[in-house]
Amino acid sequence: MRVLLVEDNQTLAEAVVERFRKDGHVIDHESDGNDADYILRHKEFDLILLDINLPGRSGFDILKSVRARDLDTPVLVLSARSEIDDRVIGLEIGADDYLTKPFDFRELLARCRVLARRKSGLAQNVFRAGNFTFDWNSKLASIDGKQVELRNKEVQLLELFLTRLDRVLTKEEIADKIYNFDGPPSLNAIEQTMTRLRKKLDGSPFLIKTIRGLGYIGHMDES
Amino acid sequence: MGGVFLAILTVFSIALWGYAQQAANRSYDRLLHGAGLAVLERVNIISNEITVDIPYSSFEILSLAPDDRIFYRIFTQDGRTITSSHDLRSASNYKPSERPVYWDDAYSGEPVRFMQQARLLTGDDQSLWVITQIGQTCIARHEMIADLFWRGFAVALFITILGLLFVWIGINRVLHPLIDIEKNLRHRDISDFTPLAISPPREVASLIRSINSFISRLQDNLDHSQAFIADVTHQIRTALSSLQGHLELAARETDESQFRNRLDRAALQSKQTIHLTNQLLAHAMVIHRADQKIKDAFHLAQVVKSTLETILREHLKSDIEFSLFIDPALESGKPDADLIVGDSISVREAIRNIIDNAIKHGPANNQIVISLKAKGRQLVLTVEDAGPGIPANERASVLERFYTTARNGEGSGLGLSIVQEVAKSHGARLRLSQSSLGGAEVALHFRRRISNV
Amino acid sequence: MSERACCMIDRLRLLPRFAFVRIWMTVLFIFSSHLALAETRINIWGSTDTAAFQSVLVAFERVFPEIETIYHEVSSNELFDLVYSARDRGDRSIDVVISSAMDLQVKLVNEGLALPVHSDAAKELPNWARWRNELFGFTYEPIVLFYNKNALSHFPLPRTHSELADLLIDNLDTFEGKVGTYNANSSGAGYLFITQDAIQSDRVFRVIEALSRAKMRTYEFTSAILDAVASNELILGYNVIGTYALQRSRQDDNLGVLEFSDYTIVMSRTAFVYKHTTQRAASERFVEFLLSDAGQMAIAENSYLIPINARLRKEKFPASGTNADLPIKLDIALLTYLDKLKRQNFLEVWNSIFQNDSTLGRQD
Repeated sequence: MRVLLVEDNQTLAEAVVERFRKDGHVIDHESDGNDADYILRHKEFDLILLDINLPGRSGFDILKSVRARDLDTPVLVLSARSEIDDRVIGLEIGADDYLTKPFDFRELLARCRVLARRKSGLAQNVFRAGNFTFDWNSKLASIDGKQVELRNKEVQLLELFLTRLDRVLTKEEIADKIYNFDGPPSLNAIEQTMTRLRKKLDGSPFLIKTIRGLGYIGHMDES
Repeated sequence: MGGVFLAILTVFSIALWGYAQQAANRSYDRLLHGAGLAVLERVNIISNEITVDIPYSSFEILSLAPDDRIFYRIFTQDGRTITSSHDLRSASNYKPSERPVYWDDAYSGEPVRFMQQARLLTGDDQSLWVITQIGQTCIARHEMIADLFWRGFAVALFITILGLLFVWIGINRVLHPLIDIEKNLRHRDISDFTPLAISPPREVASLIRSINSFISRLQDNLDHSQAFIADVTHQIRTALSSLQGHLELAARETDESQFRNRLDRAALQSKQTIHLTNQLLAHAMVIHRADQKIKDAFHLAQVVKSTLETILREHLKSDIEFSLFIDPALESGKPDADLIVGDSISVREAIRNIIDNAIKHGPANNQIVISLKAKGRQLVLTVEDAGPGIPANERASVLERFYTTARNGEGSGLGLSIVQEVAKSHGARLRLSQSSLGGAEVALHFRRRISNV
Repeated sequence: MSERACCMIDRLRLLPRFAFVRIWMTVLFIFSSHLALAETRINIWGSTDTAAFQSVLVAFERVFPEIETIYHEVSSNELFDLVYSARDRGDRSIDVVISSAMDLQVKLVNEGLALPVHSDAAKELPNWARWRNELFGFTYEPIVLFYNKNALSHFPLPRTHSELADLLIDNLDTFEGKVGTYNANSSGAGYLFITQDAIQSDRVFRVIEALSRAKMRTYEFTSAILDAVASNELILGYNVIGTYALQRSRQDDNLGVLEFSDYTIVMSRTAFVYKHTTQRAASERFVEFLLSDAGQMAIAENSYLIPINARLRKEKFPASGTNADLPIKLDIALLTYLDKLKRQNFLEVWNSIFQNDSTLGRQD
C-alpha cells in the first residue's frame, strides 16, 4: 500500500512512518501543505493521511483540490480539533474518515486497512482478510481455503457488508439494497439471512455486530 | 421627527382653536344671557297691555363687547312684536323656555350670535310666554378666540422649548456619569474588580448596578477559572510525573520482563493522561461553546445515532450489547418532532460521555440501552447500563469536577461534569438514578422546539 | 368761494401763536393750488350750525384743495331719518354724516350704515369718543346751565344739581315759568341730555321735581333758549349745549354759563363715513382731518366749537374747577332710550310733567 502522510509534527510523523514501514507499506511524508499538494499532482497513492493544521496550505484546501481533480483516493483526516464532526466526512469536505489526536496506532492501521480495502478490494478480483477470501467475480467465499456454500441472498448481504465495513447498516438500507425478483425482502427475512451468514462464516475474522434499534455493522477482526 | 412634531402641533392647534371658540362663546353667551334676563325682568302687563322697559344696564352689559353691534326683538309666543330694533326671525322650532338657546347666523352683513330666551308672564286671566331675542356681532368673540389661541399656542411653544431644554439638560446630566463610567472602565486594570462607585442619578443607577453585577460575575468566573486551572495543573502534573516515573524506572531496569512490565504501566499511564487531556479539552470546549450561546435547531435523534455509531466503531470487538430505542412518535412522526435548540457538538460530547461512562464502569458483557422518548414538551434521553451503578449518596458528588467513583485511576472525573455543563447551557435537566438493568440510569430532559404539539 | 377764502385769511391773521402751523398750511395751500382743484366733491350732512362749521370746511379745503365740500344742515332727527332711509330712496348724495345726537349716530352705525376709517389720529381719541373704528367724536361740549346774571343776582349760584333744585323750590314765585330747556319730543339733543340725566336718576330726581314745579318751558332749538334767557323771558336755561352758550355769553356780559360740579354731561359731535358713499377716500380724509391736529386746531381757533383734543381744548373753556365731566360714552347702551317703547313711555311721562309745549326759536 502506498501511503502519503501529510503531517508537520516531525516526531509524530517519524513514528507513523516507522510503524507503516514495519508493516510493509510504502509511505511518503510531507510536512508542508504546498509540497503535499504538488506531490499529489504528480504521484498516485492508495491512501492519504492528512493533518488539518499545516504550514503553507490547510489540509482542507488540499482535500478540496484532490476532490476537484476527481481523485477518489481515500483520505483519512488526522485532527487535533476536538469539535470536529460529521461534516468532515461526506460531501461537505470529502474525507473518508477521521481520527482525533492522540490516537492509538493500532486503531490508525485498522482504519487505514478498511479504507484501502474499500478501494482496492473492489478493484482486485479477490478480497482477503486473514484466512478469509471472497472472489468478487465467481462470488465464492472460502475460509482456510475451504469453500463456503452461500445462497444468493447471503452473497448479496456479504457483498454489501464487505463494501461498507465498519459502517452501520440499518435494516431499511439492507432491504433497499438486497432485492430479488420477488421484490424487497421482509425485515424478518433479512434477520434470518443474517443469522445463516453469521453461522456459515464462523471461524473467519468477519463479524456482524447487531445493535438493536440501530442496525448492523460488518467488521474484519484482524488483530 | 419634524413631521411628527408638525402633526402634533396641528392636532394641538385644532384642539386649542376648538377650546378657544368654546371659551369665547361661553363668555360672550353669558353677556347675551345676562342682557336677556335684565330685559325680561322689565316685562310687565299694564292695563292688559304688555310693555317692556328695557333697562339701561342690559345694553351696558352687552357693550362689554365694545365694538359689536346688537339687534333685538321682544315678542310674545304668538309672534306679536312688543318692541324691537329689527324685524328678526325667531329661532327655528323654538319652544319657549327660560333656558337660553344660542345659534349663529349672518345678519346685516356680519356673522351674528343670537340668543333667545323666554319668561312666562302671568296675568289676571291668562299667562303667556314673552320671548326676548338678542343678536350680537362676533368681533369680540373672534378677538378672544384669536387671543386665547395665540396665548395658548405661545404657552405650548414655550413649554415645548422648555421641555426640550430640560431633555437636553437631562440627557447631559444622565450622560455625565456615563462618561465617568467610560473613563473608569477604560483606565481600569484588568485585575481590578472593585465595583463602580459613582453616586448615580436614578436614570443610570440600574445601568451601573448591571455593570457592577457584571464585574462581580466576571470575578466569579475568573475565580472559577483559576480554581479550574489549579485543578487541571494538579491533575496533569500528577499524571505526567507518574508517566515520567514509570519511564525512568523502565530505563534503569535490566531485567527483560521487569522492563516490559514497567513499559506497559507507562503506556497505561500515557493512555490515562491522554484521556484526561481529552476530557479537559472537551470540558473547556463545552464551556467555551456555552459562552458563545449557540442556538441552532437540530435533530436530537440524528445526533444520538451518529454519536452511537462513532462509539460503536471503537468498541467493535467488545461484548457489550448496545441497543437503541427511539420513540416511534419521533422516528415516524412529524419531521420536527425531535428538534431541540442549542449546540449539537456539545450535546454530542455529552452523549458520548454518558455512554463512555457506562462502558467504563460496566462489565465486559455490559448491556447498554440508549433511549429517546417524547414526553410532552420534553425529549428525554436515557442511557442505562448493567454496571455497578452510582450509589445514591454519591449522585450529587459525581457531577463535581475530578470526582470519580472509579478507583483504578481510569476515570478522569470530568465525564458527568461535562454532561452537567451541557445540560446547564441547554436548559436541560440531568437526573441520575438506578436502572432496571441494575446499573446507572442517566437521563437528560431537553426542551423540545415545538411549533405546535 | 372767495368769501370763504377771505374769511380764511382773516382768521389766519388771528393766529400768531400757531405761526408754525400757519406757515405749514400756507405752504400746503400754495403747493396744492397748483394742482387740479376740486376734482372730488363730498356731501357732508350735519346738524351743526353752518356758521360754526364753515371755518372747519375752509381749513379742510385749504389742505385738500382737490376736494370740494358741500355742507347740508338739517336737524338731528331729520338727519337720522334721512340717512336711515337714504338707501331705500336711492339717495347717493350722502358721504359724511355729522351730528350732535350721539345716540342716533350710534343707532345708524349699529344699522351697519358706516364704513371703518383707520386713522392714526383716531387712536388718540379717548375711548368714550369712538366706536367700532367707524364713529368718531371730534368735539368736547359740556352741557351747562345758561343764566341771566341780572335776574339771578339776588341768589347764590347753584353749584350742583341739588342746589339748583333747592334754589327753584325755595323761590318758586321767582322761577315759575322762568326755566327753559329743549323739548324732548322734538329735539334729538334734548332727548339725549335728559335721558342721560335720567341715568343719573338718584341725583336728578329732585331736580326733575323742582323743574316740574317751576313749570319749566320747552323749546325746539338752543338759540331759542339762549334768546329767551338773553331777553329775560327766562332766568335759567337748563341742559344747554355749552359751546353755543359760551359763544352767546361772550357777546353779552349779562349772560353766564355754569358747569355743575357734581356732574356735567359732556357731548361730542360725531362723524362717520356713510356706508354707501361714492367718495370713500375723500370722505375718509375728511373724517381724518376732523381728528387731526390741523382739523382740531381749525375747530379750536376758527369756530366756537371745542375740540376733543385735550391739548387744544384747555384754554377755550373757562376753568370752573370741576372734574365732574361725564362724557357720554359712544356705545350700544345709547340704544336703550331709542327703543320705541322706551321712548314712548319716557315721553309720556315727560309730557305729563311738562305739558306747556313751547315751539319758539330757531334751529339748534
